[in-house]
Amino acid sequence: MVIHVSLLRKRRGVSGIISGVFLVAVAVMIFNVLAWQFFQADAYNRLQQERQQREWERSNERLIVYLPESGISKLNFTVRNAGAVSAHIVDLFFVFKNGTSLYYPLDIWIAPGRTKIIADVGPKLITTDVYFFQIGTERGNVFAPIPTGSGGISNEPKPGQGQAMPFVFPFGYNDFQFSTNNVTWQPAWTQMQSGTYPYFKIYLNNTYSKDVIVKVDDTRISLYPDLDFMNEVVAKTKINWYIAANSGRWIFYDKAGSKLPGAFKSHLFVFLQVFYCFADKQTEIYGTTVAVLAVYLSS
Amino acid sequence: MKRDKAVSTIVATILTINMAIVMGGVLIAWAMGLIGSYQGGYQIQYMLMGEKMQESIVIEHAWFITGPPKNITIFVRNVGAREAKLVALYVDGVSYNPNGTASPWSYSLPVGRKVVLWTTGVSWVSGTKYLIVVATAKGNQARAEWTA
Repeated sequence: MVIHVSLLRKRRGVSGIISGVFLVAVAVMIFNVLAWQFFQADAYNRLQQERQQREWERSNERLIVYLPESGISKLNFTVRNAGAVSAHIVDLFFVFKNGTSLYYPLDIWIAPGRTKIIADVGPKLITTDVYFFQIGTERGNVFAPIPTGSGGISNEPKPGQGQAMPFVFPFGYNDFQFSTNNVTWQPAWTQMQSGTYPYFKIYLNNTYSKDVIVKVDDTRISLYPDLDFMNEVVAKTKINWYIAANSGRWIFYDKAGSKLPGAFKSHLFVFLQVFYCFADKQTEIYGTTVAVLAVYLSS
Repeated sequence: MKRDKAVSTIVATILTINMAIVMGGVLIAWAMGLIGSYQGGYQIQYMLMGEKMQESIVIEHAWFITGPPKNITIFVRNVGAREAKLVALYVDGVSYNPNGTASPWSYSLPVGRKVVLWTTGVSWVSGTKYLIVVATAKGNQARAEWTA
């Protein structure tokens, strides 16, 4: 009350206080509006950045689809991720030349820089089929083999293509060798002598994408004189040989069980029998021949 | 009361102060309302813009099927960050109702998923290019040109 009276008695009154209060109120209001606007803009910018990130990822997703194998019963192709982000392949669009269109869902992840074989997908194919196919990713990009050509992809087997071989003999001059003392080796094609008990070694490539074990004893080389199939010479392996996926190694055979027949220039057929199993499933044993070679004796 | 000047100055001063305070209060209330409505409108605009920006669709593939029935089948995928509500399909600028639906049609497409839209309304001609547009309720579009 004393204050009020003294205020009333003052000449200047209270106009300064009132105007001060109003000024503060206006300043607070302006600050609030600006701060609110800033936060709104910040939230919007954050959404914009997220969208830009999505767009960047989408534009940096690049897959290279290689032309598929032909002469196959189901689609089998290779994809390489040449982009900067992992790709999730989710679609397979399949269109036959005759107009039949099919869709198959996929669920395949591929990391940047990696190559992946996508096998046994899509419809059942026959050799007369001509088709186009595209794969789609979760980011909405679609990729097709390069070049697809306007005529489509033919499933007809190409010359030289056919049944896949599990093992391949590379046919280098030094890939098939013999030794009489298991120490000194030389190419076996024309330098072996009749009446000897040679050791053999042969270079073998494993074309499987899995490690294999070439089985002892049953994996052998059989030599037959071309005019006398009753006179067989056999050299067996003494141990199991482990060949890593998609790689090659020497397979060593023990000394031949009987001496080489014939005389100078006698011709012999060489059969390579391989019994093997996959390293991850050793109970299932397979058998194959790799090649039929031919040698003649030097003396 | 016996003084000549009486109390009129004091009363007048008090009245003036009261009037100033009341008018100031009214002015602040008015300004607050104005700002509030401005903020409300602004917020809705930001929200709509943000939602629109989070939504994104693409046309992955289009098949021109000879049938019968002859139709165009379109694969649309949501590659955005929020559910997309598809509401319009145009082929060469003409609107069609897909999948045999009646007007107005809509389809809610969750994030990362795809939908197959087909329409028998287009009498397409082999070798001809068609501009296909799929639009969402928020105004986003996916456009692609396909040759039949």
